[in-house]
Amino acid sequence: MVFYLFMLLLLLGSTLVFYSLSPYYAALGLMISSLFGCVVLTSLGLTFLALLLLLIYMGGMLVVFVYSSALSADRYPMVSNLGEVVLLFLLLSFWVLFIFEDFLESSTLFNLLSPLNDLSSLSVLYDYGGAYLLVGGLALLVVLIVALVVSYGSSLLALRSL
Amino acid sequence: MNRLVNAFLLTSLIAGTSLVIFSNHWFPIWLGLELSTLSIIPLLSYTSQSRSVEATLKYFLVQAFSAALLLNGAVLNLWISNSWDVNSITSPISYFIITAALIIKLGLAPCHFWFPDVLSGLPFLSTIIIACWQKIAPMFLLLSLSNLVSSEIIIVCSILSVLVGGWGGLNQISVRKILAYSSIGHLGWITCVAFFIPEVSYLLFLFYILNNTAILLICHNGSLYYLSSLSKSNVVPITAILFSIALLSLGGLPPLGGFINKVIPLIVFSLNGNNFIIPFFLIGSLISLFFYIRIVFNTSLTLFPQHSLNIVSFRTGNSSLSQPIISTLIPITIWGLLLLPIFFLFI
Repeated sequence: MVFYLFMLLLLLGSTLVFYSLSPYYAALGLMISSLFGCVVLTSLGLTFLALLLLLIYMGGMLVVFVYSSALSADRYPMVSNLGEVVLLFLLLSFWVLFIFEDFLESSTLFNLLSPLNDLSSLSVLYDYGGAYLLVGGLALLVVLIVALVVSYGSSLLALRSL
Repeated sequence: MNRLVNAFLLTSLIAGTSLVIFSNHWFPIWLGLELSTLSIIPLLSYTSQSRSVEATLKYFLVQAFSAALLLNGAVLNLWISNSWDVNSITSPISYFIITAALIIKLGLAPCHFWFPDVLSGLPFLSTIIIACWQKIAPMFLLLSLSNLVSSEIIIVCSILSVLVGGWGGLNQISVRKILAYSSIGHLGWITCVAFFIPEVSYLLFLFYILNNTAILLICHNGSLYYLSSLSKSNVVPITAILFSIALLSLGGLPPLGGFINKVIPLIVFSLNGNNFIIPFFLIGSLISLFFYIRIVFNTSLTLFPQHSLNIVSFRTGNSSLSQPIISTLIPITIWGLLLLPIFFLFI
């Protein structure tokens, strides 16, 4: 039952991301959803993926997102529609609850709190799945070069100061 | 843009599309689609003009959304069928989500709205990449899925595409928008055969790419951005004549090569006894034939009191690097009907 509470809070975080007026609240929603995503993954036993998500998502991507929204957001932003977000979240969760009611009342098939379920398949990534690492690394190199080319150069594109 | 960066991005574009074509697992397919989308963003927006940047942004948003939808469908298929394999689509819901994502990526109706917008904001060489090369990967996926599951959604979307391609191109004066709507209509003709014999669709798609590339290269050479520039442009005289013939071939008139794109689907439909959908295709292609013939008529077949066509210039065009490519592609559009017996290996 607590498991479904964590997933509902994940949904709250996502609703906050897409429905809030100010990008800072969207970043808060990203933080909430990644945090509770980590909790969900940990309670399924996938601890390595949870730590990976926390480090890369919150430690890397979210910092970059907050800096770029601080540089590019409105000068006088509209602050918050938190009440509407919570109302939308409640509507969505009740809607899902009424569709999947019989599924939710059945016994859960998850293997809760048994550790290290993910490391056995993660090790394949470094062994037979080495090509995935290579192609993933090349794709990230392309992303880096694309980001640099798009944001390089003229004063029209440079980051402006507040 | 720096030549090394240009070469790197083109290489990764080709690598992304090849990754989609050559893999059996859904994850590299998604990776290849995202890689090809991401690597053409600088190629489309290297001139910092606001039209190109806006078109690039629209293109990126549509393609990223549909790639995420594709991954979602693949993960749903993993949940239901316990397999990441492309050849094991077992449930209709995952097939539908993946097909919807591919239809958005291709620009088939009813998800075609981004396509003329994006195409009319880009210069012609970028248009060739978007309209010809970027359709290879999603079309390949759509046809290989049609090998496994035959679903009527493809026929419905292709009928809508042909009708939209016809009616959408009627009141346009921008050549890029006309070619965008013609591309939507042609993709409708190509994908409808996928319901019956997907191998034939591959060949029709190849023919469509060659035809479209020839016309877009000629338009790039003469900078034919609007229909009014057909009276002021400077293409080599033989290219002017061949441009008109290639446009008629795109419309599907019989002795020219573009007729293959129309006659093979009709043969496939009538051999399978599915005569009901034929009038929809004929109506759509008749309407699109009107605006091809309007262009050819007003440039080559009428003499106005003023000079309406001043297209003769005996020097070669600006980018004469594309002249040999045009010279090899145009004969395919003119004599392509001689390739008709190849299709009877499959039917």
